[in-house]
Order: sequence, then C-alpha cells, then structure tokens
Amino acid sequence: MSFCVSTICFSQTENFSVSLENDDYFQAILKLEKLTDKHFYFAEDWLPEEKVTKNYENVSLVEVLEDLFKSTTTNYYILDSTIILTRNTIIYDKLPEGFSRYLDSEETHVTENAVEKTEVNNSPIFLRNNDKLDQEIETIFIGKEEIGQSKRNFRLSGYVYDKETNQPISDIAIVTENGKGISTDKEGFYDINLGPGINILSIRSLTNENISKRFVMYNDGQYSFYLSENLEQLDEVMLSSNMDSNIDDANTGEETIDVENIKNIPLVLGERDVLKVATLLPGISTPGEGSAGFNVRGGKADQNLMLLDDAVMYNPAHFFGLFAAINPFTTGNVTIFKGNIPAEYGGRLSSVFDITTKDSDTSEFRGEASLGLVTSNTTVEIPIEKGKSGLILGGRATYSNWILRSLDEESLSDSEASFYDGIVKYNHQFNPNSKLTATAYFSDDAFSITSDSLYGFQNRLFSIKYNTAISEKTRGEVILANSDYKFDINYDSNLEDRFELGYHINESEIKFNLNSNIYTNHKLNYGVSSKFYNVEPGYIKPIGDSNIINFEVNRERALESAIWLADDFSVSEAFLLSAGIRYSLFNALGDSEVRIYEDGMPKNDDTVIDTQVYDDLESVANYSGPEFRFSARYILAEGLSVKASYNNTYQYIHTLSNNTTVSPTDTYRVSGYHLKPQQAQQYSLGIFKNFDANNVETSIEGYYKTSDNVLDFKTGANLNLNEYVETETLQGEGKAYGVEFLLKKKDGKLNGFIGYTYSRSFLKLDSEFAEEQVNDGKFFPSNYDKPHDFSMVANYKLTERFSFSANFIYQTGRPITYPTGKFTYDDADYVLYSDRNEFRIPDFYRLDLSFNMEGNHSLKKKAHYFWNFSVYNVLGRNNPYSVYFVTEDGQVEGRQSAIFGIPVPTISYNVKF
Amino acid sequence: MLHIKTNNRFLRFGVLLIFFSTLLISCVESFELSSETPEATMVIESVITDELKHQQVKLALAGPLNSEESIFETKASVNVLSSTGEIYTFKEDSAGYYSSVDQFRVEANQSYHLEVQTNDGSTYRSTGRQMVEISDPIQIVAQRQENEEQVGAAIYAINNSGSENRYYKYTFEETYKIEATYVASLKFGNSVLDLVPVEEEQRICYASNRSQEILLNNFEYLENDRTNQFLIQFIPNNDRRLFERYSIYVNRLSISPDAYRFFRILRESSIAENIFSQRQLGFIEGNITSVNDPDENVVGFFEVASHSSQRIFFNYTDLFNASERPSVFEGCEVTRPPLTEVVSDYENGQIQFLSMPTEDGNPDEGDGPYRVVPIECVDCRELGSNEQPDFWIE
Repeated sequence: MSFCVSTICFSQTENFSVSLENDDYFQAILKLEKLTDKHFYFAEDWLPEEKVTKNYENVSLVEVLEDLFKSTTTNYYILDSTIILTRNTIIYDKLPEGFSRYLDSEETHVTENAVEKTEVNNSPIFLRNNDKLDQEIETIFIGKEEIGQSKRNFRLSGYVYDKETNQPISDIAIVTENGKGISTDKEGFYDINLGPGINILSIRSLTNENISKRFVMYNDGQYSFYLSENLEQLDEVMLSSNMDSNIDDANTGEETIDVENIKNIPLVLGERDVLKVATLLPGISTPGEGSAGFNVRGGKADQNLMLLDDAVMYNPAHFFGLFAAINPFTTGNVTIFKGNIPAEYGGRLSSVFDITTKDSDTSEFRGEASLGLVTSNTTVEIPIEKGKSGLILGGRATYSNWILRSLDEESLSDSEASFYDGIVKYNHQFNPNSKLTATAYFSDDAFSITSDSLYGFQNRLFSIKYNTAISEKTRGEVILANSDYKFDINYDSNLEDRFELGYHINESEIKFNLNSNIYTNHKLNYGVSSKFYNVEPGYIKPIGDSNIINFEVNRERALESAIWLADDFSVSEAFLLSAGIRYSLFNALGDSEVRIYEDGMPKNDDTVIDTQVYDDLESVANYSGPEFRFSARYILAEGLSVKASYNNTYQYIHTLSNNTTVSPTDTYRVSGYHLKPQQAQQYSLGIFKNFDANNVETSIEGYYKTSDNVLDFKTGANLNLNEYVETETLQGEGKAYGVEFLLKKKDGKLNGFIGYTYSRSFLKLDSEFAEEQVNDGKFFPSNYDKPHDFSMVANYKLTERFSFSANFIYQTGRPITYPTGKFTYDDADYVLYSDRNEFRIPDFYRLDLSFNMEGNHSLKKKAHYFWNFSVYNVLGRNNPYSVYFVTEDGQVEGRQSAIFGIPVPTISYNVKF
Repeated sequence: MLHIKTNNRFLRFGVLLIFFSTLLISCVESFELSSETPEATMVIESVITDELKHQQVKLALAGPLNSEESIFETKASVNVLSSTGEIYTFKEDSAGYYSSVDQFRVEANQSYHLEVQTNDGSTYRSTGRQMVEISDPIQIVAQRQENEEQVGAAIYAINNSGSENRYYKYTFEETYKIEATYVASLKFGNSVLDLVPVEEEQRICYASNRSQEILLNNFEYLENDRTNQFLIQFIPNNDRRLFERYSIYVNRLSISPDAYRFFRILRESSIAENIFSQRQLGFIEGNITSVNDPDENVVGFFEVASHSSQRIFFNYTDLFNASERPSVFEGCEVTRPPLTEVVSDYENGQIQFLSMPTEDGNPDEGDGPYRVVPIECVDCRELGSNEQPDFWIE
C-alpha cells in the first residue's frame, strides 16, 4: 500500500524478527509493541477478526505492517514512536492537489454528488461536518482507501437475507438517495455502483422492514443486509413486486408472485395454489375451471416453459389440474415472463414460469403443516451446518382414495384416485460469494376408472446449481438439470389382452450463465446451454399371459443448444435499453426411420414413396435461428414510464393431443424430419404509472403476436402409438393480440388488484388438400380465445388478525365446435359438425369469498397458526366446462358439464413452527 | 377388441365424474338442441361386399338437430363402376334407398368406385376401393358370463388374426321369441262390453332389433395367428330377450384401415366425454367428394369389403338354470279394476281381458267386472310379430 507513507514519513529502519502463531490482530500488535517499542493507537473493533500465523525474519516494521494489513480495511500511520491505526481512511500527511479548492468551497456546495463528480486523480475522500453522519442510522465503511484511487464509482454487492430464516430475499428494492435503484435477484444478490464517500441506501419492501444505512465508500466491497419480517404487513400483500420495479424494469409482461402472501386468496378444497393465482393476472388463463394448462397471451398450453429450480416440469398438475403439483409451502418465488422473455430462457413460445424453491433456514429448525379437506401438506427446514447449509423437505398427499373407498357406492369400490409429491432442496453457502443448491422433486398420480384399467403419471426432476463470483465484476452459475415425465395405462381385463401402454420423456441440460458489470451502465448476461432429449413416444407390452405383442414407437433423440448475450444498457437515468440475442440450434438425432411422402401430395399411407434410415446419433434434421429479445424503458416522469419490446422465439418440442384441453396422457414429441419447430414473434408496448408513493400501480400493456408452424391435428387424429404422426398433424399460423389493464393497490386496509384483458387469438390451418384444411383454410378462433377476461382480488383487513378476501372472475365462454345438424348412418343418429369453433359456451363468472384468521403475531410464540374459511363459487353459477353431444339409443342428445356447479365451502388450518 | 377398448377408455375418466358428482356435486345436464337448419349436406352410405346380392346405397341429407324425420335424396342416378369397365346400375326402391338392378358381388383385385348424380345435377364420386383379402370365417359363440354386478349372456365373435393386421366392422340383428304369460280365449273388441273370441296367434311372437352402434375391432398389437374374442353384446339374464329362445345374426366386414378410421371417428363423435377433457370435434372427412364443388362437405365412406356372417340360436336353459329366470308373472298381475278404469285403461291400450271372475276368486284382485292383465301379458303382438321368421329353427 501506501508508498507515500513508507518513504517520506518513516525514518527508522531497524529490522527485527517476529513469529505469529494463530494470534489475533490484537495479540499481534501487542507483540509488535514489545519488539519495536512503539505505541499503537487504535480502537479494538477496528481490527480484522481473522487470526494470523506468520513468520517474519529480519524485516522492518513497515514491511510487517504492510503485510499484516494488506488484505484488510485497516490503514496505518507511523508518527515517530506512535503508530495510528485507522479504519478505511488513510491519514494524509500532505495535502493533495486541489485541496485548497475544496476548502474554499466548503461552505457552499459540497455534497456526495460533488465528490462523485470530482475527476481529480488521487482524490481523497473526506467526511465532512455537514455530512449526515450524525443521523441515527448505522454507518458502514466499505473498502480500504487506496492512494492513487481515481475511480468515479465503487461497486457494492452482497445479499439480502431474512433475519429470522436466513432466506435470501429476492426482488427487494435498494434505492439510493438520489433515487437510483436496483433490486435483488433470485438469490437475494444485489450489485450497485455508488459514488465515493457517503451514500445512503434504503431498502424498501412490503414484506420486510424498511431500513436505511449509510455507506461510506472507500473502495469496492461487500455487504449483506439482514432484514426482519415486517409482521404488520404480512397479510396485506398478495402480489408484491419491488417498490417501483414495474416502472423501473425494462421487461414488459413480467409478473412476480410472492408465494407467502397468497394465502388470503379464497381456496377451493383447501389448497393454496400458486399457479391458480397466476391465472388471475391479465394475459394468463386456463382452458376451463379446474383444468390443467395455461394459455398465455393467446398461446397454446404447450408453449410455456415451467421451471422448478431450473429443471423443466412437464406436468405441473395433479388430478387434471384441480391441484397444482407445485408445493405452495416450499415455493419461494414465481416469476412469469409473458412478454419479453430474457435471452437466457428459450425453447417455448409464450412464456416462462420460473419457480424457485426457498432455501432452508440455516439457523433453526422450522416447519409448517396444513390440513385441508382433500390433501395435507408438511414442510420442514433443517439446518445442517449453522449459518451455512440447510435442507428443506416438503411433502403432500391426498386422502381421496380413502374417501372414494368409504363412499357407499358399489361402482366406486374398485376405483382409486390419489396423488402425492415430495421435494427436497439442499442449500449451502460456502462464503458470501459462492453458493450451491440442489433440488430433487417427485410427483405421482394414479387413478382408475373401471376395475380393469389404472392410469398413472409421474414427474421426476433434479437440479444442481453452483453460483459464484468469478471475478470482482462477474458472477457465474452452472446448472445441471434432469427432468423425467411418464405415464402409463394398465389394462387388466379377464380376457387375454391385458396390456400396459405408456409414454416416457427424459431431458438433461447443462447451462452456464454469467453476469458481468464491467461498465457502470452496462449489465451483461451471457451464457450457453445444451439439452439432450430422449423420448419414448409410446409402447405397449403384454401383462401376464396375453395375446398382446411388445411394440414400441421408435424413440426420438435430439439436442437443443443455445448461446446468448444480453446487455442492460442504462443510456441515461431515464432510458434503459435491454438488448439480447439468443441463437438456438436443434438437432434431431437417429436412429430412426423416416417416411418420405410424394411431393405435392397429402401425407398419408398411400403417398409414401420411400423410407430413409438413419443410424445411431446420425443427424436427421437440423433447425436453428436467431432469437431477438429487445426491450426498452423510458421514464417520462417520476413514477411514470413507457416500455416497448420485441422478441422472437423458437420451440422444438410439442404436445400431441386430440383434446381441446390438457390431459395427463398428452405426449410430448420433439421436432424432426416432418415436424417443424414452432416460431413466434411478439411486439408489446406498455405504460406504467404509480401513485401514492408506489402504493398504487397501474399499467396498460398491448401486444401483437404472430406464430408459425403451430401444431394442430386432423379431426379424430389417432395419436396413440402412432409411428407416423405426420399423417395426423397439421401445422399452421397463429395470430393473437390484446390489451391488458392492471390496477394494483399494494398496501392499506383494503388492498388487491383488478385486471382486465381484451384479447383475441386465432389459428389458420391451410393446405392445398382438403384433408389437411380446417375451416377452409381461413383464420378461426383458437380453443382458448376468450375476448373479455376480468378479475378482481380484494382483501380487507379488519384488524391485525382478521381479514376478508374476495375474488371475482368473468370470462367470455371459450369457443367450441357446435353441431349444425344431424344425420343417420348405420341406423344410428350422428351429429354433423362443420366449422371449428364457431360457437361459444356460455360466459364464465364466479365469486369466491374467504375469511382469514391469524394467530397471534408475537415473535416469542413458537407456533403460529392460520385459519382460512372459504366459499368457492358463492353465486352457485353452473359454469359449463364442456359441451358435448352423445348418441344414445340412436338419438342425439346435447350435454353440458360443470365441475363446481354449487358453492363449495372449505376450511383449512395451517400451523407454522 | 383392443382398439375399441383403447378408444373407449383412453382419456375417459368416468369414475372421476362420479367421484366429483358425489363429492363436489359437479353436474352434467342435458340441454335443448338448437333448431337451426344446416346447409344441405349429402350423406352417402354404402358398403358393397363379396356376397352375391342386390347391393345397397343410401342417399340422405343431414337434417336439423331437433328433427325426428330423415330427409332422403330421391331420384338420383347411382352407379358403381369397376376398374374392368363394368357398370352396376342402381334403382331407387324406396325414398333414398337404392339397390342394384342386378345381383352382383365384388371380386378381389378389382377396384370399384361409386358415382352419384343427384336430381339437381350435382355429381359425387368416391375414391377407388379394392376389397381387402377374403377373411377367415367368423365364428359366433354365446356364453354365460358373470361379473360382480350381474350374470348374463355374452355374445362373442371369434376371429383368427391370420398373418396380417385386420380391421373389422360388425353389424348384427337379434331376434327373440316371446311367449305371453297368459292365454285367453276371449278379448275386448270394439269396447270393453264387446267380448270377442281370440283368433289370431297372440301367444308366440318374434321380435327383432338391429345394432345401433358402430362395432369395430382390429388386430393391431396382437400376436399373429392368435384367436381373439370380440364382445358383440352382453345381455343380462333377467332381460326378457333371453327368456325363451334367442337368435343373433352377426355380419362381419373386413375393411381397410382408411374405412376403419372413418368409422372410428364417427363412433367417437357420439360417445360421452369425461368432464375434464374435451375432444376436438369437427367435420369427419370420408372418401366421397363433389365433382362440381370440391369444397362441399360430403359425409360418407364408400367401401368394398369381404364379408362373413353367422347366425346362432340358444335357449335360456342352454346358459342358465331355469331357477335363475325371473318369474314370468312379474309385471303381469291380474286385477279387477272398476269398470270406469277398465274403460280408460283399455282405450289407452294398456290392458286386455283375461277372464271373467269366478266366485272363489282371489279377493286381492279387486271387485271389478273383469279380470284384466297388462296387454303384453296376454297378447305378445305388443312386443313383436306373430309371424315366425323364415330363418327360425326351433
């Protein structure tokens, strides 16, 4: 360090020897005092906490001090026989250039800003009398001042943790005095550039305490915040976002759901459901009440990337969608990208649901349990190494099987319907800069319809992530993930044709993701990823002594890779530009046999002209393309911003289904020789305005989206065990547009949000051949085209412990294909369908109410309970879920079914310990 | 057999429907069908076979959903043309039903197509079809079958898969003998005061039903050269059809995979769905198009098939113990209602005279002027025809 100090100020050069053995700095200094006859002046708490083991032989005092304090924030100054130790500051024995100028201007205008603007080399940092040190906020000194320091900005980084649980807190806003702000990422990590000298950072959060701290910046450094939970506000927020992130972020169409705080939303069957809450947001809907699958901004249900701790979850639903397969107790955060998808994500056209499991508490054992009518749920957090690592375990199971069996209904005695899921996550913080997490998840559903068939499906996923600082300005993470999904149907009759039929997909991914802040106004994100798919599209095998043969549809293998680079460029304080490019590459790999069809003819058994054979891992088809992810934010005025984005996406995996809704027996197939990748581009524009100190958020967002090669199917397509699905599939164009309004009040006795979306979604399946056309090759409304979608969620807090909530939802009925007539064939009546989706089922509306009672919020109390009483569908509206037509005794009859046609009351009890 | 099962049961979650109706009161309701008149859609139904006979073609139009009547296409010119240049002309027997002027049978290794010209000049043409090779003869068996809920007669078609995948479509006609519970020598004539002798046969009758659903099965994923049983129908042993003597005629057609697909989709379009998923519905493409307007929707699949059929007979006691048969008196109580009631019930066609009351009669029967029974208990013609069919063998 200080060259100046050692040459100019220190004249004594007698050498000595000293040996330090696991001494702390205080003991070390005592030893030096003895040996050198000097006096050290210091405050004990300024000394570094580490212990030192060092051997110095025949060295000067300067050399010893230099070495001892090299990597600490302590400076020293030698004055004759006195040595003064200081923290951060260097004691200058010479006035630097320009100092007189400072003195002159002292009375008038010195502020942190002035310091920040100083471009003088060797500029020392002064704490001035009129600086706000005397305010009662904690002051933190960061870094050690270096002589010759000329940086205009220092980098402060670290984590924000919950004081009680040691959980990192994501999406916490950290704001400087001059209004510059950033937010923590998923890991609770933040990174901000501050001017030299005093900076006041304030943390604003709805769930945790709001604090301010004074940072005196001498150099780059690290600091972690520990916040306590803000119990007063625990109940009030359902969907919290950073204080003003809606205004500040460049992304359009990004939603964050704070899982802890959705507990007041009325429930059905006592299940807190993260994904159901998502469907209340503008632009996200489900095909029907209690059904699986999400349609995001007019996209198909297979166009959403569901990530649980970075691993793809193929079927996030239990029981056809009545329950989410995501454990609400272990889930920390859900971020949904429905507009601009960041460049690090890809592979799906419409959205990314990024679900992260919370970290276990590393300091004390915790648990949570809930009892509902159909399921129960338990979660425990077990610290492994105090302050460093912990394990979170969560499990859920249903007792519907027991209910089914105990019913006095003979036809149900053989049936079963059950599910369970379990999750384990291990988190290990090696040091403030390095962290490892590993997650394993499993879910299983089984149900039977008749005594002779049993259906089952399983999700299994595993991921491991290591996140570390690679250099001072670059953080990197490596992710390994593996996902597995399968279903099977066991058919066990008393005849000789018992069989098992099934499907299986497995994918493994490796991803390197890096973030760099090399320049103060550029934040770079870049990385590469590669994913290997192995699909067994269908198999059938005999059970026992059966006539059935073993048959398998050829497996599909493929590699999907991507490389990306994105830059968040702060052009000015008001103008933020986020530009990303992702290049994705897909290789369908052998071994396989591909049928070649006659050119200019429809693909069917009669037009096959050749069969091409590919060897193991030989390339069957390659697809690739650039994906652009541009978005920009401009702050027009305080609390008012405008954002625009453009992005295009590729999708190489598709579901095969001949249903209009999602079913657990839908299969996923990867692109190949015949099946082309789906593509989409989306333009969106939004205006965001906050009122009342960011308590009220409003926004209007519009989008226009086109897509190509969207997969659809011929009427009555047979997709099970079909080796040549290309004869049943159709690929067409999609078109969707909409406007979304959102009004959110985050705080206060009455809080909640109102969303309204007007949107349309169309498909066009055209071909020169009638058998490959739908609706004469014209655009027609997609199965999920619901023009009006209104939702309201409101909480009213009576007291600290009692609150009411209400949901109201209104949606236009979804399109259906309605018969236009009937005809007789083979002596029975059949209905005649002509154009697809020309009619709609009746509009959907529903009101739910709930009353919540919370146990005492005393911090000393060990257990903490929560009661929720809800009534789902208070109005008893018989919302039709499906409309269909049957021929019975040769006669046509129309029927409609509803899932919850009457009010459904629910009680659930949660306890946290 | 297999395919039917899979098609029936894939994605069909009936039990959940029951589960939820019990637990959550989900509901399925019927609703009124709208009465819109559809655009005229031609429906052409024809399968010609290798059986030497007057082959049939049916021409109709799709009607409004809530209509009971069928609309037929009359006065059309119908021809089947073979690849060897033969033309088989059809004539209209009754409205919409056309049969070949001459008897003929389809030959293997020849292609046939159907051509229909309607009265208004539109021409419809099918693709050329060739008969799938002649199949092994069908074998029909009836056997006693018990499951947890009931005992009954299961009627199976037994097929041998041979060496190829086969696709079969079945139709059947069942005929059963009915014996009236009571025999009376007199009956009410013009009024209940007018007792006339019974002259017609009204003790033994025969009733027939034709299959009303599409029965399909295939040999996909089945081992070669194995026999396979396909359930044609199951009749519980308390069903009156089985009480005396029962006969079923099953006709099996060997069809092509394309025709199979058409009938499969047609069949699927008419069976109940589960409440959680809805099949994508739409127009079912066949193999007949309009020559004048290729975009016109035409319903129908013209198929050329080889056939095999068999008729079997069995008595109740061939499969079941006589003691298992419900009493023939069930639902045939003798009563003596007051005269006014006798008059109105007779006019409504519900009762018929059995006998005059006797002095030592059962007082539980009542004290009306006549002993009467529900009409079908004494006159079997209520349930069938008293003419014995030609094929009937006792």
